[in-house]
Formats: sequence, structure tokens, C-alpha cells
Amino acid sequence: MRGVYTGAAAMAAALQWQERIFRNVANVNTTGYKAEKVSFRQIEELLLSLGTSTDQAREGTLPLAAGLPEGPIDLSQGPLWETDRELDVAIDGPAFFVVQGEQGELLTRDGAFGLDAQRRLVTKSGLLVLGDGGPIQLPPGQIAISAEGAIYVNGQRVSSIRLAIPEGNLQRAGENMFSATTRQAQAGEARVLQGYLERANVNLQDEMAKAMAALRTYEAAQRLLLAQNQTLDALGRAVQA
Amino acid sequence: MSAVAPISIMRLATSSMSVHQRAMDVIANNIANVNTVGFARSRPEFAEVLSSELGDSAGVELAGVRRLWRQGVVQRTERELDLAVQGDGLLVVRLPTGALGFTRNGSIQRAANGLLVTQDGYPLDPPLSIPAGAERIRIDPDGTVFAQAGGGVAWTEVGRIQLASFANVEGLAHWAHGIFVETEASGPPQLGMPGAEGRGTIVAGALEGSAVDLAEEMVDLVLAERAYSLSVRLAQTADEMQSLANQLVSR
Repeated sequence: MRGVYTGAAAMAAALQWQERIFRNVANVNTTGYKAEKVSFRQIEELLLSLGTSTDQAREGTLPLAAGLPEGPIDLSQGPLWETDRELDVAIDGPAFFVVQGEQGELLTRDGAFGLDAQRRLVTKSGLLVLGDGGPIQLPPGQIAISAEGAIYVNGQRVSSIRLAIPEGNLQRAGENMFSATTRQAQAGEARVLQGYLERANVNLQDEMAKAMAALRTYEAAQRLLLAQNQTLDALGRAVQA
Repeated sequence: MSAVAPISIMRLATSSMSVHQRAMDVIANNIANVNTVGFARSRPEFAEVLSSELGDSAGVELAGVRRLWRQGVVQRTERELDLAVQGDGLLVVRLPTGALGFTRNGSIQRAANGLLVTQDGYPLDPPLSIPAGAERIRIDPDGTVFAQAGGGVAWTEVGRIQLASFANVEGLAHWAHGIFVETEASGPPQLGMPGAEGRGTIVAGALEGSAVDLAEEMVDLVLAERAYSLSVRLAQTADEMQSLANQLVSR
């Protein structure tokens, strides 16, 4: 019987892996997207554990969706692209922009900012970008942003974009946002680039290779399940006879 | 750990296809307007979507299409009623709806009744009427319009062209024919004289070229097309997985 469960659990794991690969590919053009990181090694270990784990010997306790643990998010730097737009900003380094979400502060690497009707700096989904003194309101004029995140309008310093470094695990919050406990970035830890955007850190070649591998893993697990099923069928017929 | 079904990864692949298809439409529209006077290019912007509690399709969405108001190249035409705005600000026209419209297309005509109107016939606001006998028209950088009677030497001031600026110009909504209208996001127009309060100046005898850079559009198109075609591949993969799952129940 165990083989049936192992096969089903492996199919579920391969499907979860595939789902993360699909999400990465879908977001290859999403500014500031941070990829789901699932390595081949992680999958191998998971599949091995399904086959050998002794505490799964009792059928009743077999977790069908044993599954892939929520993987780490790949925080590596995405490529920086020049856009020449005043309110496009990118971060070079480990820091995040801080924005005001509905339930507390959120982090993002998506610096395609804009203004609202009160000339406050907002993300593309309209959330307020936070500076050292709360929301950042900009008077009309030429906007310049320094490498430290200080904002100048017509040469006058107006505010400074807050940069935070996550401590501990990041959680995805949707709309290119994350949540995590953070600390203030120290001077020189990260650099702000005006007129640039950070592209997704998705490696398409890798993802497509993994998509093929996940499909074949799914197929192998399905074959295992079918074979086990046939054995059980044969056993059932033998008993009836 | 949420369970995943092959059908949900299929939805993921198809949502990615439709988002990148729409992105390609935006880029194609930019390319089609490479020669449109005063055209501001648009940029598709994407956002990640998380699966909801119901396990609905996660993936990507087109979070918005941002119109980038980048200065286009001011090209001399030597036609006296061609205007380009150098700097911030949009020309103001009165729409048939009674509302104000805003445009960077300064290809102005003199209507039969003497009114200055845009290419599509919308009168400038405030209305500027050129006297019947006027033969030449001059427009200064500050927007003042002068007319000169046939055979005369004296220039008579006819009125002034105003420009509108906005708290958030990217918030304007496209109305039609390159004319925009205010929205809640843009804030109300701040009307005033060219050259004042940070507004740009008027360059007469010139037009602002399209702000589309073909090389840039081609790069964006290639990136969107690549994401689209790979999403098609993923949809085939999802289909294959669905078929493998179905073999389990059909026996």
C-alpha cells in the first residue's frame, strides 16, 4: 500500500514545484519580482524522504500533500534597467523601499513610483511610499534623488526615501510587496538609482529546464502509482479466486 | 501548504499569456504612433498576484498602463500656427461635452469663423479669434498671440494661449485624438501662462515629435513576446500533467 501513497505524494510535490516555476516565468517582466527558489537538490531530497522515511510507515499518518516547504525567496539582485523617468527608482544592494500597506508597513523593490493628486509619492498600486518623516509630498519642480535616497526638488532637500533591510524570512504580500521584520539600512549598505528599474531576478533558461524536469518527475510518480495499483488489483483478483 | 491542481497551473499559464498579450498591444500602439505629433508613450506595468484562499489563479496581472510624459523632440516646421510646448504643460481645448481637454498636439488651424482650433476642430480655451483681415499670425514664447492685417506692419494682440499643469500628469485619462481629460488621480488643472510657475514655453513654428523611441519599444516587445511564448509552452506542460492525472481515474 505504501507505494501508492508515495507515488501520490511525489505527484503532489512535483505539481507544487511546477506551480512555483510557472509563477516565476509569469513574472519575468514584473519590476522588482523576487523569484521562488527551488533547487533540484531540494526536490531530490524531498522525493528520497518520501520513499524512505520510517515515520511514514503507518498508512494512516501518511501526509498526502507532504509537499514542498515554503521555499526561500531568491533575494539576489535583479538587472538594473535605465528608463530615464524621474520617478523610477531602483535599489542596488539588499535594502527595500518601505510603503504604507493597509495593515502596516510593507517592503518592495518595485520602484516604479508615481504621484497621487496631492503629489505624494505612491507605488503603482497607490500605496504611500514612506520617507524618514512618513509619506513623501513633493512640491512641483525638478526631482532629483541621491544615492542615499535623499529627494531634492529644485535643489531643496524635501525628504529621504526610507530603506529597510529585512531580518528573518520574507513573506509575499502580493502586488510586488513583501512583509518582514526589518531594520534601518546603514549608510552605504545600499544605493538608490534614479531613472532605473530593477527587473525580475528570474532566469528563464533555468526555469524552462526545471519545468521540463518537474513534468517528468510528475510523470514518473504517476507511473509508480499506476504500477502499485496494478499490483493491488492483481492481489485482489488472486484473493477472490 | 495549499494543494495545487493541474488546472490551477493551467490558469496561471493562461493568465500570463493574456497579460503579456495585452502588454504587446500597448507596445504595438506606441510603435504605431511613432510619427504622431505630441504622442506620449505608454508603458505596461506588471504586478505579482498571490493565490487567494480559494486557490484562484495566482501569477501576474497588468497592474496598469502608465503614460510617460517625456518631452518629444521639437521639430521646426516654419508653419506659423504650429506650436510645441517646451517643458511641462498641456494646451487647453474646449471639448463638445463642455469639459476642458488637454493636449500636446499643437497643430493648430484657423477655422472659418476665425477661431483657433486643433487638428480635430476643438477650439483652444480661452477662445482665440483671429480678425477676418489678418494675414499673418505670431505667437510668442509666453503664449501671446498677435495678428497683422494684410499689408500692415502693426501687430495687434489677439489673446493669450494658456497651459495646464497637473499635480500628477500621469493620472490624466485619454479622451480621444490625443486629447486628455482630468481625473481624480491627476487632480484639477492648474491653468496659467506659459513660462510661469514651472510651466513650459511655447515654441511657434515647430511641433513636438512623438516621444516614442523605436529601439526601446522593440526591446520591450521582444521581452513581452518571449514571456508570452514561454507561457504557451507552460500551458502545454500543464495540459500534459492534467492528462497524466486523468489516466489515474480513467482506469
